Order: sequence, then structure tokens, then C-alpha cells
Amino acid sequence: MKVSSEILDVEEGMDPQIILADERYSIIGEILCDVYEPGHAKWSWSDSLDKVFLNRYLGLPVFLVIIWSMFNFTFQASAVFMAIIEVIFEWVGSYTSQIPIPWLASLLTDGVIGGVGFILVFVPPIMFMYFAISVLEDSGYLARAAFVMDRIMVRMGLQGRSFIPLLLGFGCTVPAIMAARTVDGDSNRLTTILVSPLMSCAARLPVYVLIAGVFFPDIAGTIVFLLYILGIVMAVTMALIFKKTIFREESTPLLMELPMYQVPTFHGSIIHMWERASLFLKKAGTYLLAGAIILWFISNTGPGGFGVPVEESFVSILGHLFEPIFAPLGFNWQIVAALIFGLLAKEVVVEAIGVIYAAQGEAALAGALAASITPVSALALMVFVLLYTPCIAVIGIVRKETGSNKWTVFSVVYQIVLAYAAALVVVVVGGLLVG
Amino acid sequence: MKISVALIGNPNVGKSVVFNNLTGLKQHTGNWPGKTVEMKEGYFTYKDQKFEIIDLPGVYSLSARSEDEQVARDYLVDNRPDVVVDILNASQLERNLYLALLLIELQVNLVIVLNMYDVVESRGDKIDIEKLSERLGVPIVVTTATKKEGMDELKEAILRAAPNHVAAKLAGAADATGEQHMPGEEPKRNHLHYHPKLHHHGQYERLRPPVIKYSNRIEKRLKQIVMILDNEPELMERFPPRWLALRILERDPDILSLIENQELKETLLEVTL
Amino acid sequence: MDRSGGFHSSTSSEFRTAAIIAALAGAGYGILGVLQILVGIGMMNLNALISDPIGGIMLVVVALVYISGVRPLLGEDREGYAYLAVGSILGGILFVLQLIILGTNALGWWLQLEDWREWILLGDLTPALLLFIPVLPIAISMHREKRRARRGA
Repeated sequence: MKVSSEILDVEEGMDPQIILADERYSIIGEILCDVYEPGHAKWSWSDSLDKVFLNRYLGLPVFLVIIWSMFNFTFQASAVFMAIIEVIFEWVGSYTSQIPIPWLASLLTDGVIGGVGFILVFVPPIMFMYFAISVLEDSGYLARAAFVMDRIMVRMGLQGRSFIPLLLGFGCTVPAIMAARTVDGDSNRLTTILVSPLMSCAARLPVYVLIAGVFFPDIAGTIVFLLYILGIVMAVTMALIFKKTIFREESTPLLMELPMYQVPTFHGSIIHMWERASLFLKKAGTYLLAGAIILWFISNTGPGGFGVPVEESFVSILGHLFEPIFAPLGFNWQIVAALIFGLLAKEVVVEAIGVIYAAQGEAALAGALAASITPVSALALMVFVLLYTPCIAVIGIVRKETGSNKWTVFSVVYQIVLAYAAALVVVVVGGLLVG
Repeated sequence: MKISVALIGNPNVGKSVVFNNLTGLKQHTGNWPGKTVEMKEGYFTYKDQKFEIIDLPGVYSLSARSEDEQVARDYLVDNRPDVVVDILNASQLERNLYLALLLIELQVNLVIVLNMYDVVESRGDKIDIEKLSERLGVPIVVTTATKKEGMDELKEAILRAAPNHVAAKLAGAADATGEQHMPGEEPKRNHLHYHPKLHHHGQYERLRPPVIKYSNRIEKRLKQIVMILDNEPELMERFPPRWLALRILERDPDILSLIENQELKETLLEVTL
Repeated sequence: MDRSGGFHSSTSSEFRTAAIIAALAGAGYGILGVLQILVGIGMMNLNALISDPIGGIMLVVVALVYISGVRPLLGEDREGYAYLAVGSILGGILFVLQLIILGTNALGWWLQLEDWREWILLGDLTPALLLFIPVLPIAISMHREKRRARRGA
């Protein structure tokens, strides 16, 4: 059993639990002495690989190489498939825009294809990401990654067990928050619930892919990787701040079983990937479709009635209302409106950008986006999306798991404030660097 | 009536594979990232006997510190399943036996499964199963769940471990209620008092003298606590006394909070290690 | 059972060979990794097509893993093989990743998609791809040994 040695400095008070645990282990030792005879093949690959993967110095760099590879795989390898889907929707759009009934043509072209079709472009990176996570999990490395991170987190006075839910947060925040149940101690658990949303979930990926692809096409993979790292750093930092301010400390050793290494099966990873992709498609076909139609409707309707230009629509009014707040970040009203709708779900950010700019496919949108905000603001936008409240389902699950309205409101508010502050730092620092 | 069986074990011992092998239902359980922490239920029939099987979350101990441990412990204590099957990773015996000892403390009808036995064999290690079974006082079955080896043996062991009166009841031999009696009553026949509500206190020791004894220092204090606890029949009926004493010795907050009599609590807390 | 085959029966000369392989692989990954970083941050101009400093850091990490294995191998410690293995696993991951990227880029080029029209093969022949090719036979032989060791035991 691997026990983070840092917290095994047992206090002198002689905890009766520890005495009894010692007693049990000594009985086990006696029994094993009698019944167990180790074989000759003591040297096992699994154990010796752990010497490297869990190495005090190499463990973390190795972890970074693997995670970096995962993101590059997610982003770069899927790019061509995204382009193919885009071309298909452009082609479909070129037909729907020919429909003689103008509102229907607009609904299908700008609303459905602009919104949902645009979101479907991001199915490949999501599938690739889940494929990679599944390979990591099946190989047995994911558990080691948690262990490697545990050592660092314990050194910073945090409970290592929290890293497992946090790791889950890469996929989706909702199961991550549910997994916080495995964390010992109420304050540790609450801390984990509060910081889990900062881990970048798969739904945020489309936003990064879109923005990084437009503004930083050459280093998009690296940018996305750095955003994920920023998410981890922020989660750990905030956890530390909460620990030092709101909660008092309590820590227990991380007892974690490391499964044996296995060569992951292609079949298993494909199944996992497909499960996730089909979930996403289901979401796209229902909520996101409905959302797209509503978005299309309110971006074509205003005080002046239906069929007004987007500048006079309700969306524009909403965007303009909040625009002053985001002016320091350099976001225009279109982005602001998209971010507000993004409170429902992060996919909606991209969907809303697509509908508002009424663009089909990434290529047409790229020009419009690039013209409207600076690269520094684009970076700030990605940081903002990374850090602010992931989606309405997360708010619901936080409410359910904490059982407290106070903590739910706190969770939402602190994340928005944090996102704003971090984005502002990006704008200020970026502004200084760019000159 | 079905024999109720609970599956328990450390995480990653192949518990859900055993579960799937036994029930034949396609299910996915475990508390590893990506999988939810749920109890799964299933059924199987062996030798015309129906079994109802519950898959408890994977835990290392029963200290009730985490939600998983809480779920497992509460289920075992409150529901007292007829048979508890503890699945061990045979290649990690030392760590896995810890939970087994805790289950022995809990005085459940235990069957130990040494799973992943192929790993032990491939490493060339040798485990004296008979001696281990004797030392623990628990029947042991050797399996390799991934290859579906040892499943029939396991079913047989579960059937045998089921308490007599359940088996008798199932056979329709006697009126089931006639076998039970209230605390203090003399039993009509010699039968197992396995249900905490249906025995008179002290019976646990008599029917199952502890196979695993701790050092004198601890045993002495356990006796002290049990004697003090004689004044608290409610607790003594609800839990196995020895287990209760151990928990009190460990200062288990859940158990301590059940003792309402402050004076008694203080007397108990005076017994320290 | 007899400890036939595999690393269980490594002789001194086998340890020395392994140490040399680890040192060479470490040097290769290290030098090209540092070069890629320098080119990437613009401190060197080699007319190279690859500008990916963080990718360079990844190569350096692989180099560190390999080099960490040299000492235990020279000390005839079997654990040294684990460094060789992990180095090769990481190198292999980077290799497969680059191979997939190359393949998908080639697909885009073949379909003449907009962003891929100017793609050339040379730009994807990164150090991560090239460095692993000499390591490949070693990795394969290690994998075989591992299998044999498992079966033999």
C-alpha cells in the first residue's frame, strides 16, 4: 500500500485507532508468516514501472508529457475531421438558404445549422478526448496520476484524495462533484465541490478549439493544454485559499490502490468514446437544438417585432446591457450575450456565437471574430470561459450535494468573480507585453 | 425465502466481475473515477436455492469516514445479511486481510474469496489456503473471476455458510418464527443467533468465540467495556458486543453518539489504551 | 520454475548494453529537444519548419527518464530497465501522436481542405517522430522479453 509518507508523522497522543490498526496488521503479519511463501519471481514489471512513474522527481514531468500528448491528440488529430463536418454543413446550408420561405430558410440556415450544426463540428475533439481518457484509465495510469498529484497537494496542505474527483472534472463537472463524496471530512469535501468546476470539462473544449483555432492556429494545442493546466492551478490555489480562510485543516493519509498496468484494449476505448459521443449527440439533438431555435428567435426579434436585424434584437439589448461590465476585457456585446447564455451550458457559448454572427461553419466565423476582438481579449475570453460557472446542471448538483443555498450561491459568485479577475489579469499583462 | 448475500472487498479486486459472474446480469459498479458509487443488486439460483446479492462499494476499512465506508458499514450492521462474501486480491493479501479482520470483528457469516489467484500462481507465490482458513476461522474459496474460475465453489461455500435456521426455514422443515425468541428467553433448540435483534446479549461470544484475539492489553479492556455496557441493553442487542466494545475503544464518534447516558459514556471513555 | 530468459537472467554485458542504449537515447532526445526549444523560442534559426517549444520540453523529459536509467543499469540493478521502458513508452506515445497527426494532416491535404492545401510532409517529420524509429526495435524486443518473462514464470 502506498501511503503518502508526508502525513504519516503520527502524533504522540497514541490514537487508539492507530493502536488497533497496528494490532490488526501484526496479526495479519503473523498469519501470513504461517501461510504465505513468496515465490522467486519477485521482480515484477508493474512494481518497477511504478518506481519511474511515481518517482519523486520524474513523476510530475512524466505526467505532464502524457497529459500534453492527450491534448495534442484531442486537438490536432481531430482538426481534419472537424473541417470535414464543417464542409458538410456548409454544403447543407447552401441548400437550406435557397428555401423560398425566408423565415424558414433563416431558421434552418442561421438557427439550426448555424447553432446545432456548428456544435456538431466539435464532436470529433470530444470523442478523441474521451478516447484518450479511457486509454489512460484502462492502462492503470490515471490512478498513478492521482498519486503523483497527491504528493504535491499534500505538501501544500491539501487532501490528496480530492484529486480523483478533480481528474474526473476533465470529463464533466457533474460526476466530479458527485465523486467528492469519496473525500474524507466535510470541509475537504466542500472544498472539492467548490473547486471542481474550475477543472476544464469537455463542454468547454469547443470554445477553446474555436477561439484558439481562430486566433492562435499554430499553437492551438499548446494553448488548450495551458488552459487545462491553468484550470488545475486555479483549482489547487483556490482550494488552498479556502483551506486557509474558511475551513480549518484536517488531513488523512491517502490510501490508494494502484491497479496493475494493462495494455488498454482498442475495443474498450472505442466503446467508451462512443458512449460519450452518443450522449453529446443526444444533447445536441434535444437541448441544444431547442436552445438554438430560441436563440435564433430572440436574435431575430426585438421591440420592433420579428425579422429585425440582430443589432436591434433582444439578444443585442441583453448584450449591450452587460457590455459595460466587460468593456475592460475588450469583449463586444455579441460575446457578452454568448457568455450569458453560456451559464446554461458551455456548448451554448459557441452555439450563440454561431447564431449571433449567423455564420455557417468555422471559416466564415473566423473572419468576423478576428475582426471583433483582439488576440489578448480572445485569450481573456478563454480564461473567462474556463473559470466561470460551467452550466446549470452543475449549479443543481452543487445545491444537491452541499444541501445549502448559501454554498451554492457562493460557488457561482466566486467563480464569476474569479473568472473576471483572471481575465482582467490576462488583458492587463497581455496589454503590457504586446505594448 | 432468499438467502441474502453481501459482496464486499477493497477497490479493484475484481468484485464487480465476481458479481457479474454470479448474477449473470450485465452491470458496472465500483467507486473508481468515472464510475458511480452505487449498490448493485442481483439474483442467482444455486441448487434450487435463490440468493439475493448486494454489491457494496469497495472499501479499505469500515471506519465510516467516507461515504463508501458509511454505506457498507450501515448495510452490514443494520441489515445483517445472511452471508457476507469478502473478496480479496490474493496477490495483495496483507492489505486485503485488514478488511477481513474488520468483518470478523463484526461477527458476520463470512466467506473469503481469494480472487486474482492466477497472479499469485504466475508469481510463483504459495498460499496455504487450509491453514489460512483455519487461522481466520472462515471458509475460503479460490477464484480467478476474469476467467470465471471457482464460481461454483463460491456458490457452494455461500450456501454452506448460510445460517442453519435460514437453511431450515428454506427447507420448510420448521415454522420460521418458532426458531426465534426474544432476548432472555431460553431457546427451544440449539440454533444460531445470528440476528442482533433476536438473541440475548452475550450470546455472540458464546456462539462465536473470537477466532482472532488481540493482545491481552486490548482484550482486557474489551471485557471491561462489555461489562460496563451491560447497563445498556439496547445497544447490546443492536450490535455484536465485542464489535461494540472495539468501536468504543477506538472512540468511534457514530457509536459514542448513540450512548445517551452521559455518566455511562464517561465511564466508558475512562477505559483507554 | 527456472528463471529462464528475460531480464531475470541479465548478465553484466547485457546491463552494459542497456546502459549504453539508455545513454544514447537520452542524449538523442535531449539534444534534439533542447534544439527544438531554442528554435521554438526564436533563439536559434535553423530554417526548421517546426516551431513547438513545449514539444521540445516533452522530448527533454523523455531524455531525463532515459538518463536516469543509466546509473542503475551500470550498477547492474534491474530497476534500470524500468527507466528504459518508461522512456520508450513516453517516446512511443509522442511517436504515435505525431504519426496520427501526420496521417490526419495527410488526409486533409488529400481532400484539399482549405487549411491543408499548403501542408507538406516535411513539416510533420518532427524529432519526436524521427527519434523513436531507432528506439523501436529495442522497444519491440523489450516487449517480447516481457511477454516471455510472464509466460515463463
